[in-house]
Amino acid sequence: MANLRHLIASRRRGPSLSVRAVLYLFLLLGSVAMVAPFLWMVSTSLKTRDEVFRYPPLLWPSQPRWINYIEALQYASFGRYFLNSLIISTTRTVGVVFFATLAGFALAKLRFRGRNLIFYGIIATMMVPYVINIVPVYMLLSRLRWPGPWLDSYWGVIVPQLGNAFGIFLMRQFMRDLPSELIEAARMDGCSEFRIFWQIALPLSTPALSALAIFTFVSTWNDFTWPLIVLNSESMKTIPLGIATFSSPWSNLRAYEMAVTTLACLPAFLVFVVFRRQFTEGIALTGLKG
Amino acid sequence: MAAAVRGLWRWLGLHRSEARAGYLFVAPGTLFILVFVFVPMVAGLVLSLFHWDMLTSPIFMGLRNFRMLLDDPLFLAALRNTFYFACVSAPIAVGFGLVLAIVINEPWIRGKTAFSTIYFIPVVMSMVAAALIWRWIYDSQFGLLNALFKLMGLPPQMWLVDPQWAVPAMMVVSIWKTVGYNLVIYLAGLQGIPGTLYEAAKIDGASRTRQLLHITLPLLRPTTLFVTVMAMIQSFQTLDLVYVFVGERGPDQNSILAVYDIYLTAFRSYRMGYASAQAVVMFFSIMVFTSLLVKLFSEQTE
Repeated sequence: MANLRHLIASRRRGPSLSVRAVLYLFLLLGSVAMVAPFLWMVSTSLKTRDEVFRYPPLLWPSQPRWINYIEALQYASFGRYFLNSLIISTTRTVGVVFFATLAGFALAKLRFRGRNLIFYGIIATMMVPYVINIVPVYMLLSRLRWPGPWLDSYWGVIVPQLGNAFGIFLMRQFMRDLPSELIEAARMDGCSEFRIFWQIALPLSTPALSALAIFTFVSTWNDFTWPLIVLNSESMKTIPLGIATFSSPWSNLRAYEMAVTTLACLPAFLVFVVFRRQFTEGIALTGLKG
Repeated sequence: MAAAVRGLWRWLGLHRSEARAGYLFVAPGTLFILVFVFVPMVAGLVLSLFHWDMLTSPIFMGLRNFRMLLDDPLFLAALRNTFYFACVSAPIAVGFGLVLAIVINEPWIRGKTAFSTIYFIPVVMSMVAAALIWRWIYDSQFGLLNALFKLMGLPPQMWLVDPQWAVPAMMVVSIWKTVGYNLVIYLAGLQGIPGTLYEAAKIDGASRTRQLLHITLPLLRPTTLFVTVMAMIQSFQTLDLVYVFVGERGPDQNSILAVYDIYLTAFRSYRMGYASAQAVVMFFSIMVFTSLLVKLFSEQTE
């Protein structure tokens, strides 16, 4: 009894006030460190040339110079970068999600010879560091000529990344827990295997599906390595490629640079704000199952 | 012949529609991986034995590419910097993630979602954007960091050029960008630990430190392995960060990382075979490193 009372009291008490204060301070300082660089970016993007170079540094410009954004865009075809990023990210996401769920479904629910062998083979490629593939994939793409040259093209970036071992793994693990009786019953009723996949398995897998879609989209949107290697003309550049090579011939370079960087951060930030829960829950899903 | 085909057909179970569908559904995803991951991997290993400039036909070199690596100061520096970068930044990012997750998971902390959201913001942004922001902060003349140093009466530093600071400057960005990811995975791991374990420990009179050491940390070991391996593989292959940091000057031995060196060898000098040899060294370094990690963790569990 005494033990129990002690237990209740200690739980209500928790750590002392000073310990709590220190821990809150720790979390707050960390949060400031996370956000401050972004605020500095926006602040710089709104400064005049003089304000950019002022010492001590000016935390926020007295009169935000919005025209920096318009001037900066003269040196970066940002609309074009945005369009390229959107086309590449959307297409790759649709492709990866479709092929990964299809394969994941087969590996989880359909019985055929060599199923486990194929599954472990796919998992093994998850461990392959991509660094070894850069040169050979480039050489392969430089040889492909149909329906047009693959280097410096959308499909040159998209197609080599359509097979996604991680996606297949994720979907297979998730779909394994779907009720087999349901699938069996549908099969008895004469449903084709594709209809079982499309109308039963797919709708029941939306949590894993949306997590995979969001991860694929954001990682493609932010990807730098493959676009850098495959694309080279200005009109094909994605946003990361465009801003990494941004330069303006004169004057307020740092402000322009930060204006363009702000524009680059905006879409990812909006996606994150809208899908915040799917992000964290999706990561929990991959982390626990991985 | 026809009998053999029919035998194979039956052996694979292709008379059953379920098996036919199975092969058909697995085919596209597997094919993409085969053609664009597995075959290139083998090709990369083979290519490392050749000299090839993409114009003339390849010349067999045996292991001479690897001998040349030993006399390549830029690559050796890149290798050293990369190990230094990965082996320091990944554990620190994992450690911070763990500590933050444990604190945020405390029952009396308010604003759990707000905190984990804020720490996650850098994770969603592109590394290129992050690197551009930090390059401006590190700017030796007008950067924020040197301004703060000046205000505190400290001498300004050439953060991105100085042999002492070039790699640590990149570490900070990498840690800043990945802490939130580790935090969220650890939070999920913490929520998977059954609360009854702590109740039992409390009744037995175990202190909070003992609970942390004997319940929380051991049960988080799989999470730690996963997070550490991911962080290591990623930092060993960092390209965007160093591309932006080095971009305005060109590479030097203080700041170059391995994948950037490979990129330059392949796409600036067109030495495809030599670049593949460099990639093979990185490839095996990463493989050995991750398997050592896995081994270390599984031994401790026993």
